[in-house]
Amino acid sequence: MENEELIAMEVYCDHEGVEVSFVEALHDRGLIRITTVKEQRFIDPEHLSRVEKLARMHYDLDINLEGIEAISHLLERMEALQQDMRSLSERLRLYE
Amino acid sequence: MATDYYKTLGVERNATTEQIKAAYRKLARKHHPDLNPNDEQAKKRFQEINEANEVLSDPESRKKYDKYGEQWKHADQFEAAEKQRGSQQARGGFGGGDPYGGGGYGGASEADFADLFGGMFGGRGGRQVKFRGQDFQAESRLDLRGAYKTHKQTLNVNGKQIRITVPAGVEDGQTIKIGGHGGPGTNGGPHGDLYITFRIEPDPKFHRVGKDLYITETVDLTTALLGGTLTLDTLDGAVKLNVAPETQNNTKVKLKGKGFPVYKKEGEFGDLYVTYTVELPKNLTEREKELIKELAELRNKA
Repeated sequence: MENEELIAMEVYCDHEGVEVSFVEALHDRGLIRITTVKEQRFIDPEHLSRVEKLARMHYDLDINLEGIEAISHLLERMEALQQDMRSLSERLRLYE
Repeated sequence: MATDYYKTLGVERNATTEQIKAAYRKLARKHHPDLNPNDEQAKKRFQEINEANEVLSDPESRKKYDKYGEQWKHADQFEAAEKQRGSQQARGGFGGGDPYGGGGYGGASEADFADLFGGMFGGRGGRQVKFRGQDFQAESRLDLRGAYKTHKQTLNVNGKQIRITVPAGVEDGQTIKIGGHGGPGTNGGPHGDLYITFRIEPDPKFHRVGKDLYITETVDLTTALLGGTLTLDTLDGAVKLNVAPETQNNTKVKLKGKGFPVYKKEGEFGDLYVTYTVELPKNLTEREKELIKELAELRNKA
């Protein structure tokens, strides 16, 4: 992975008004990935939109970390179910 | 239609700022698009809730909204007009003209409204500027044959031409992400991403279910009874098909590997299912009728 593609965690937090501890907690819970290069921590750019989404849940919707963790798992399942539903309705159309 | 922001949030007109905030958060937790992926209705509902909150949570806007209702955004123009009318009346009592009637209020359009609420997922502390650039959404329509082969496509996104490769086997409703083709970031933040959702138009002949294709093919009576061959047009060209003797109506046969390409798995294909519809002959000649009668007798004896 190219270093310049990584987002310095402190820069992001400072700009977005998000606490560093919040991003660390997301990482600790396995919800996002933080990479450490030469003692500096970076957010994987692939995970940046996820960090933004989880930060909205926390700061805008007042959902605590435990809630965010549970919601994240449920959302994953929900998206998989939506996918299943799409392919099932396609199959059902065969019998229409 | 008039929108009552208080009703949208389900609060009384004399609700405190805290009550408004609590009502907004409660509704947002239910309808926020982050929590309702791929749900257009929730998105729309959240926009209404967000709009109501943006207005009612700001004391200045709320005051204007309480006084002028939906037209609150033009409050300054109203007030200026009112002042003007007041001075006219003081000078000579012209009055009379309704400053709010008829001609609109300076031509503010829906777009102005949208601009005001554009930052629907406002950042912390009300900041709208995001570190990472905005994500763009685009839609691309393809017919089934277009989705069959990997091809290049040029899309116009916000006035910019973007050339993308559409991999074979893309599904209806599938969204692909083109990293870095969204809006620019700020303070060294990365560009947003471009999300393209594909809509695959149904084909009149082939029905697609994931990687498999389904087709109905007509077989004449004699071929169905005695067996034979027929030529079938697939998306990959014509294939010769052997029809087994005594093929029944609605028999389904599978042509392995003649279905749809599997997304991002080069050389891998689904199957093609052919359902035979046996067509009974019409306008029989006398000779044909005789032969069929003969057949009927033979069958009855057996």
